[in-house]
Amino acid sequence: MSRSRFVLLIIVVAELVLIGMRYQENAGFSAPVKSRVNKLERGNRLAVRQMEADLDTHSIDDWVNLGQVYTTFALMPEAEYCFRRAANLGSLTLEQQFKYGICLSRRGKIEKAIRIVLPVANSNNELAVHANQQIGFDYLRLDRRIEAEKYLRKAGADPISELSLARVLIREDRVAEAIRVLDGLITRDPDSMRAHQMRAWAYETPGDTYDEHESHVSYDNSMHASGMIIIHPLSRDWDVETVASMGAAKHMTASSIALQKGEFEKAISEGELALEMIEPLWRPGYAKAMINAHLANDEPVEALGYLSKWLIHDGESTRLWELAGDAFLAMGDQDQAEAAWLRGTRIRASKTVQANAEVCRKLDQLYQTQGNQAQATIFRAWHQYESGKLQWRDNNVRSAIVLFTQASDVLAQEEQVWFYLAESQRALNDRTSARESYEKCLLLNQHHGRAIVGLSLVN
Amino acid sequence: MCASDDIQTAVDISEVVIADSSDRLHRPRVLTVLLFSLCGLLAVTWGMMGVEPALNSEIPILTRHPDVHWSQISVPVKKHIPAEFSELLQVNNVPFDAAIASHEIRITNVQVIDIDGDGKPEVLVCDASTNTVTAYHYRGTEKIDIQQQLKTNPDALNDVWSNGSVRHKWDQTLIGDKLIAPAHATVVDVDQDGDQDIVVSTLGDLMPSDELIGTVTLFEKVDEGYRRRVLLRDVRRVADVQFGDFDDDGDTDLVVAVFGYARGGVVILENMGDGSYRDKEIITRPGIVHVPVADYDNDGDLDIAAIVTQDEEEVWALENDGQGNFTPRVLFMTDNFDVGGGGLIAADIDQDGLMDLLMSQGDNLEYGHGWPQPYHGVIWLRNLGNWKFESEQIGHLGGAYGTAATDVDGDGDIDVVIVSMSNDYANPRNPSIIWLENDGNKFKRQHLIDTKPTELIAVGCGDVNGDGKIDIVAGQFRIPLSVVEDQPITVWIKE
Repeated sequence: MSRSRFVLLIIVVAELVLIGMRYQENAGFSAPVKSRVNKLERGNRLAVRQMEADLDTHSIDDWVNLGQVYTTFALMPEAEYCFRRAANLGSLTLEQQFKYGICLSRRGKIEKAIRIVLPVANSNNELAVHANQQIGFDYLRLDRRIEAEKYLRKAGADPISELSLARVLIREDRVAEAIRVLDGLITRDPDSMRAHQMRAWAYETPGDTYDEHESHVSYDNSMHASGMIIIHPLSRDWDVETVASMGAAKHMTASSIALQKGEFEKAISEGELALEMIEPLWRPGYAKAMINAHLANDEPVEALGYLSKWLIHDGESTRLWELAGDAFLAMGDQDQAEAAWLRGTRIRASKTVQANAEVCRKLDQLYQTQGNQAQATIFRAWHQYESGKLQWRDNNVRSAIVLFTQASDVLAQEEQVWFYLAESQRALNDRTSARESYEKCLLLNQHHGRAIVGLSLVN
Repeated sequence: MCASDDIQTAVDISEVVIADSSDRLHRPRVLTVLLFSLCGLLAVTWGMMGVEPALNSEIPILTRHPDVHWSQISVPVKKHIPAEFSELLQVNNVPFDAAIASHEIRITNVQVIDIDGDGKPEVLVCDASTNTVTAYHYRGTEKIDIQQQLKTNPDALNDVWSNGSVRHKWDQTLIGDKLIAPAHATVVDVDQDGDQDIVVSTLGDLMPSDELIGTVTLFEKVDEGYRRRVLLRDVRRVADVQFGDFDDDGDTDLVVAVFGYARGGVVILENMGDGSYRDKEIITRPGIVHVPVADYDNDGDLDIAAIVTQDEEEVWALENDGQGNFTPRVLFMTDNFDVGGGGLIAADIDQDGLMDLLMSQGDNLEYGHGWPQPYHGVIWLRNLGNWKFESEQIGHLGGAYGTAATDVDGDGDIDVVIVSMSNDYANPRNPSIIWLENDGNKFKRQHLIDTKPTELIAVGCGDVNGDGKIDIVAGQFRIPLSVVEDQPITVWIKE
């Protein structure tokens, strides 16, 4: 053997060894994935890259975990690749199989997703309900109503599945069956807004079950209930958990815990880290956390700095003005606090819906401390009205009536106070009082459409 | 045996037969070649095993139409903070603007429409980050010395056209501010005094909320500008307002799309003739995005169509009896709760005299990070007369949102423009705006307009620069959890 051939042979052997090592490292011929994280915020980008670097290619769990993270961030080809690699390494547990199915479903490979999830649905595993629900939903996405019904029924007493089933039954003109499903749901959860709402739609469907009165009763009930179930399968909770366990959210959770424990400095430093980790993005919730931490730490000026940024990023909100008032009050500037809270009364709160009631309560207190009883009385009444609306919203109609009645003593020229009082009285079948309240509302605004309808219903 | 036979065969086949001076066959050199090749092959294999798999979506890559071209320009959008707010939050004489922050990009609606009656259309924009409605007036181009400009303004290149020496000039008119999350602005002479008023639909919160936070606000055109008046409050989130004389009494009524969240509906605001309006709910369904008004049954009065979303995914018609009484009809429904209805527009696509509807599907914002689905795109609800509508998916675009109907290629028929909010933008080749070519009322070809900017939610068409050609305007709505380049309002000027 010539020297050159000997050298080549050595190289071949070395290459085979390298290939073997890489095969071992990769747990196969294919390399691990490096995902397209360019659209993620800094913290999540770093966390994903770390997961990729730490990946044990021989571990099914690692591939599945990475696949689940990719699924959360909609890096779907990467996610599917991970699940495939996991499946090639050995048998997946039912939970892992379910996650694989979720990935395929979101990727739009719906029929394959159903095949993957089916063994979970047919098992005794605690995920079986969710798997049946998932398959039901996937059949709905394929517009295959018959199969969808079968699996939604198999999901059993699961409110999300039941509401979807009721929708299918109404569309199938099997309204009586739909009403039975919805009545069962309402019996278990009288505050289920969606069940009341769908029951109203069921009764307005033309056919043997058509009943205008029942439809209206259910519609009315839906107006003062707050159980807000929409299609929100388990996998979305998993998304939330995944995101909460990495990047900025980890620091923000630490900040919240520190705040609860009274460790304000730590709450602030963890919050600052969280804000760095969401760069270049922005999250109003994080600003609110920083404002709360600074206010708790007696640093109103710093809190106002975050309030300014929040206002510029996202625009005004009642909660923002409420916190601005708190900050100014902490600084001893009552005039600015009053101005901020008054601005808060001019707009409606949404997520932090109690903010409207709170700014009125704070104005009441402020005016009391200033000895301005007239203004204090007015804002106490507004606080009662706003609190009454919250009680009405949450199906506490009796409490609402008490508060609206108190408010109406002072705010007799406000049509909305009379309208909500009338609606509450009608909900409790007090037709005489309701009639009077509707009439007072209509005296103030003869074109109040909902009061006109309400009055017609009690007359 | 075989090894040498194989080698012999290889030699024969390759005809690499080399003789040395003694005329013996030189097989060892062949072996060397083979070993060398094997070396190379193994090296390549080893290398390939280290290459990460290419994992892109399977979205077909679109190309531009060879004969239809645009130039893309960006409309400069200024930061807007009402003076009242700056004063309210000013601390220790530190100027409020010192707070280093930028607006989020949340354009909710764009239209190309003449609001001031000068015959030149403006770009009317609803911005849910600055909470404003603003009209942008295009004022042509001016020549600039870009090198000189760059000395004082490093961002100057952003304002100039492709040849690097022409700047597009814009003026802007603030119609209204302090409107929390304006979703739509409707231009209508609501008081019939000969000028254009503007009715703004306000959500009250961009994020899902079922609270009573929506409003309808009228900006009545007066000599000194616009006079503001709230027409409807204490309703859930309002996404759209359209208009028409529904009860045939000669004045202009309004129809309101109450999107809400889990609860919503369609409300008529009946014009009482004295400047006041009476509200009347005519259907209750969640997630009403748009309520295009037209005479869908050609009986001489105005009917209303409504797109219902939020898991229901239906299109309804409200048939007017001519007196303002409406009979609801379901024109379209799908069991696929996941289609994500994004909008509904009325347009006579096949120009047969019957008003059709175009519905976009692609809102998957329930996931923080969405993924394009096979059913995302545009559904044509073709009006066959007598309230029969036939549905057909004519466009495929992941994350499709806004849709506009216009003659893009100037061949006399109606084409369709679609923008995408949540396509797979991790792959930069995926389109954010496309158009569907109408070819004898078949839409078999779709063409790329652009891949950037991404995350577009709204689109409008019209002659922005007054050259007689139809331009395209799109608005960006940045998804809160994704990092993409900011470009709030973009105009594609037709060449």
